[in-house]
Amino acid sequence: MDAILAGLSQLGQWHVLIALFAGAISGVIIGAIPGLGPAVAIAVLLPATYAMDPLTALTLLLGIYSGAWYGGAIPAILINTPGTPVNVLTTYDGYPMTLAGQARRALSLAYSSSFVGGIVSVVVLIAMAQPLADIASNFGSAEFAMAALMAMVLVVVAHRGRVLAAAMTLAFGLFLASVGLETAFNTQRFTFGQVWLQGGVPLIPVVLGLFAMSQAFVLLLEDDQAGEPPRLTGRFFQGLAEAFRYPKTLFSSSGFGVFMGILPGVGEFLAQFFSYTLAQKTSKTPDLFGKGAPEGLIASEAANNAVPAAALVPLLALGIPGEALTAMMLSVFMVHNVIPGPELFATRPEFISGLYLSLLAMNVVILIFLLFATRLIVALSRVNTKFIGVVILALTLVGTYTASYNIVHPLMALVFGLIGFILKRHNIPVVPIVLGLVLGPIFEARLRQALGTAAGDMAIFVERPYSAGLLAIMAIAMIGIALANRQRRRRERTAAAGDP
Amino acid sequence: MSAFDEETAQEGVPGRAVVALFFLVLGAGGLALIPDQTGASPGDEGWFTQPWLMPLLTLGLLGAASLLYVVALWRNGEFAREKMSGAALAGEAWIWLKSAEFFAWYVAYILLLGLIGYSFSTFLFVACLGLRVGLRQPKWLLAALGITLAMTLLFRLGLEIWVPPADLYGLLPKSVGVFLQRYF
Repeated sequence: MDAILAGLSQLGQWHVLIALFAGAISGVIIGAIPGLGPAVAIAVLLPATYAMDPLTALTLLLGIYSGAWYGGAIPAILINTPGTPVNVLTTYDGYPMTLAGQARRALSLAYSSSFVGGIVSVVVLIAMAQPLADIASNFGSAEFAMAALMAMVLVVVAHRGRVLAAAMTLAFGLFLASVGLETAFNTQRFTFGQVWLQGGVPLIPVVLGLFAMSQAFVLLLEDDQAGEPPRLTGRFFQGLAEAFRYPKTLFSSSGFGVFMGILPGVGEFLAQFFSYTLAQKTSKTPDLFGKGAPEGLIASEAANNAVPAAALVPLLALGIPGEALTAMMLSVFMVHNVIPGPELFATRPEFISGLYLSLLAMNVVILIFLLFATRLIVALSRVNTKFIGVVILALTLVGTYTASYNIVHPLMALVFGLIGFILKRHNIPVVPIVLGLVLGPIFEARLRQALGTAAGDMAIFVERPYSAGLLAIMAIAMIGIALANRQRRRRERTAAAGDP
Repeated sequence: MSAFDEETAQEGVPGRAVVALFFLVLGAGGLALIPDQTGASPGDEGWFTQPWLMPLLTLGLLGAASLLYVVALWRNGEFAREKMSGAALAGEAWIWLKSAEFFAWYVAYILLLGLIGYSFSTFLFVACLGLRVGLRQPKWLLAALGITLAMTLLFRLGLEIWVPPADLYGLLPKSVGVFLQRYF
């Protein structure tokens, strides 16, 4: 009870409330604009949040993160274009419903499914983060090194069909993390005698370049995708309650989203594909999937909205981010010298409960905003994409230049912008670069400490039960994903052989 | 199709092999530079404390992953003559170069910041780059003005982001210059 009251007093601060509303509302709008996405917005806002207190900053960023997945459903349903990449499956059943004159029903189905996914995910975060942090209080350096390694391995293997490319870019990110002055022996690593490289490769220019600038380049070079706002047809409140007519799909998809969100690197894509496949297999009307099945829409939206809060479980409990957006959030913790992990739960319970309450409130704010402002969001989402590209570039100036007031950071961001642009053109994942950059120093420091206590004996990683457990989870996940891929290839071969 | 071949099976634009080769050269070149660009710990604290360890591991992984990626691309015909022809690569290089144009725009924006201040340089950047990419109707000039005002309100007034003094403001009467320097 004390923790809830302390959390309420944290949430009641005016700057946290402003961050909550601003983050949630702007997140929905950002998600509804195809080609923008939360990674761009979070990268742009990240430097500005360093001046805020951690709860305000995280509330703002989480509002954008959560809101974007809700908003991304709008263009997916209305114009067959996902607002964010994770809304791809929403187009399968959402757009056919729009064509059938049921746009409002599809939108409200998506909203209520997203809401349930979001709330389930926060409840799991509240239930799981503390016990996991309690377990993590027994962790030593060996376990933290293995947890970081597990995050890296899972990020790579989760890129189905692009594992080699993901390993390549992860290694690139890890290498970037090793550049600069190595503090243990004051050794310069790959600085080529340049003073500006001694501090290492900073995170902000890298994320601004890879996510914001590269996307701006894409938008500036593409033809404008925006057209006239589509008409909203059908009954709006019909779909809100309809989602609850499919409780099995609604809650199993939310569960998938939570599970995949907790696993580092796996995230929304696998969650929605698994949920969608399961929903189709267990549906009484599987033939309707892809043609406007409400269950398909529910599976996709509940699963991807259950990920954001679940992704905070490993971040808060272990201090290990599982994907790019939580990696950026980790930097907010670091700037304020707040170290996520077991100690945070013991020393800052008011912060933790404030964060939980803001996540719950965020979902409510987003749902209410969507219920009353969908028409406005639809109009805003049709902004010329070239203009959005210009504005993204202008917005990045604050992050790149005003952080150091020299030309080095903006130039670095531009170089990473070009790298990101080229990698995106060739379907090579950029997220592992950021994870490598964030997880590299954690892994190196913990590896050294662990091996230091064991006089260099690698057996420490299998002799300690928790470390061995993490290794086992890593091995099981890798074998599981490999077997699933093998089964899928076999199915595809069989299907191809059966085709006349 | 094997798991290995599936890695590069997606249809792509020409030049993917060039990107893979770039990472391979980066990995191999970095490994070769380790003796020059890192050092060894002075005492005998153990292999795991060596400053060269992390670059060795990461560049080794980069080299190995990019080598396998190059092999997978080669098996999938990405090194075939039609995909590696001068015309195909020139077309792709031209797109990379077009994105580099925005690089120059951005540098000009930063240089203007020190001359005419945040708000004026932001308006010029948004309006002129908008014109360059084809946003030629008057409404886009108004949109540029609106965005500039919003960004000024957010960053200069709201978050009080400091920017270096602009030369232009120094030429104005002191009170006006100080006001503009503080808020614009």
